[in-house]
Amino acid sequence: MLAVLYADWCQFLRKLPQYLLAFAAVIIIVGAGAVFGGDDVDIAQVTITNLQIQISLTICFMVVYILLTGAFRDDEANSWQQARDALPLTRAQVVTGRYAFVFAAIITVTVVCVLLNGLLVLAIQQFDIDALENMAEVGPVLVATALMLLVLLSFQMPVLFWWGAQRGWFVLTLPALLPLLMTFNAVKQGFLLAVETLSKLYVQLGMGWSLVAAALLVGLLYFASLKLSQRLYAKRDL
Amino acid sequence: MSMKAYVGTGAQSAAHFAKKSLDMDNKLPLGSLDLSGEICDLRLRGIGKSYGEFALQSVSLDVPRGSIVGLVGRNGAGKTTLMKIALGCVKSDSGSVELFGKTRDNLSGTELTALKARIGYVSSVCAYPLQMSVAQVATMYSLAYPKLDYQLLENLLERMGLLKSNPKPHRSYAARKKVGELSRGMGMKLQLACVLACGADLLVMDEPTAGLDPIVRDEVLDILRECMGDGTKSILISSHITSDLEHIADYIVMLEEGKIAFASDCDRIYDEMGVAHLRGEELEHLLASGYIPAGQIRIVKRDFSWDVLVPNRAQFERNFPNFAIDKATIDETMTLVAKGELR
Repeated sequence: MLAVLYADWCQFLRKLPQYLLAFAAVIIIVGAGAVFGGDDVDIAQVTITNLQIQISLTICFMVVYILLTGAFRDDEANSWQQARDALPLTRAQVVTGRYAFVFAAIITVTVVCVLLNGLLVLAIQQFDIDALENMAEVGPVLVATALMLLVLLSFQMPVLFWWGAQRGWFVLTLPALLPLLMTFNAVKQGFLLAVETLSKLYVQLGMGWSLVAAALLVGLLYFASLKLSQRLYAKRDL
Repeated sequence: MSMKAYVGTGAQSAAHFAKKSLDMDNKLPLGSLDLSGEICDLRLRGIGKSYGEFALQSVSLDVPRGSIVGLVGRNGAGKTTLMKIALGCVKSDSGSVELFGKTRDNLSGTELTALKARIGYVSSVCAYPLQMSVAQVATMYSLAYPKLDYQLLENLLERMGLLKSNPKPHRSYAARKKVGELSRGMGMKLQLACVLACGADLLVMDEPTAGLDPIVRDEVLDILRECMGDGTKSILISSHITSDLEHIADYIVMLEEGKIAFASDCDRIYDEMGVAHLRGEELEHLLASGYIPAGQIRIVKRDFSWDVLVPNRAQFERNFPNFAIDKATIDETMTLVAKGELR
């Protein structure tokens, strides 16, 4: 399994400069849009939390979309998936490797977003905004986003392992569509409500028990998705 | 190839041949091969697989230990599908795959992994992720194959010009070159180096010489010959370039429309079989003689003659001393089997 994890990692590394460029573009575009886009916006009045959430969400969704699309498309390019199938690995190990890689990628992106937000907090202190309070709001949102991405992937990956990226292209568009959907007020409110509920649970249960419970549920779903993918991939002709 | 001088006499009658007592043998029929008694690293039995209109129909094939089996056939005959079934990339609808004496379907995950570690696959294209570098491919192989000889891999890559001699070979320009930047020949050499260094006992090679220039093709064939030196490795190789197979293959199996149309050991093709070049009346004489049983004579019409596949050249020459006959080649045999009219 290490071999396929390593192959995925190498491909990720090769594309890292593109990712970083895309992140920078997102931060600049979303940030500039928020600060200069509105008529009544004063820099001191910008809802920094919303800005952070917007940027973080966009980055997370972009990463998952690019990563997943790239990984599954690369499998099909150049007969790599046939050659990979000839390596001393079972198909179950190939699927487990990909799930582990994607999981690690989401965790990494979440950590990177937290770090970016930390930097932002340092930056916004000059506007006399309570930075620590701000981080307390953004933190659960980022964790919730990571969990939501895992839920999304749990539905996407079985289709991709079953049909491949060429036939199952439509599931790849799902994360790209979600930020768009977030522009609809109802969807956005629903998401914020979920985050608010999570925040309340967080406050009530203390020490993140609510997040632990949510993470457990998502973990179960991800595991079930892994098992389903293993079964579907085992039947697929490459 | 030297064409024998033609001294045929058209005046000889069919009756003359019919009367003549013919020297005939009772060997295996033309194009059949029985390797069931051999120790085989790969054994396919009754493989069936259908994709829409195409179907592999009960194909059986053996790759005896220490031998090279060449798989030939037209595009779409089913060669790649058969190889994919052997590797497990495609599930067959019927039949069984035996790897090193063990039936694949009965293996546990651990057993299957252990057996797959003894198989090396070489694709017709350099089938590694395009973004990976040569050094990264080498590292990936070392992670996948427990028996990989890293020193041998480096030596092979260096010999093939993929990893220039350097105190820090993994930092060299060649090692950092991406798979996508390699030429076709270099890509093929990279695959070969990897499968040879991983200690594979069975190599499955899907058109490894396709698209290579003659010099690189020779290098690839030389490496294959070397790796077969100790007689412990086996190779299943498909190719359109039959002259390559003539140099290295021990057995030839020809697929035609999903079925095995012809199988033979190469020595039999070169030493025993022949292609007779007959004029019209000579062909009639041959047919009338009953030398080759009716329904088993394969004939192709040429501009001025008929080519006939002959199972035993020496015997044919004894029976028909005035007829022109040449040694058979894989190419001619393929043409006669695939396009020949059966009479």
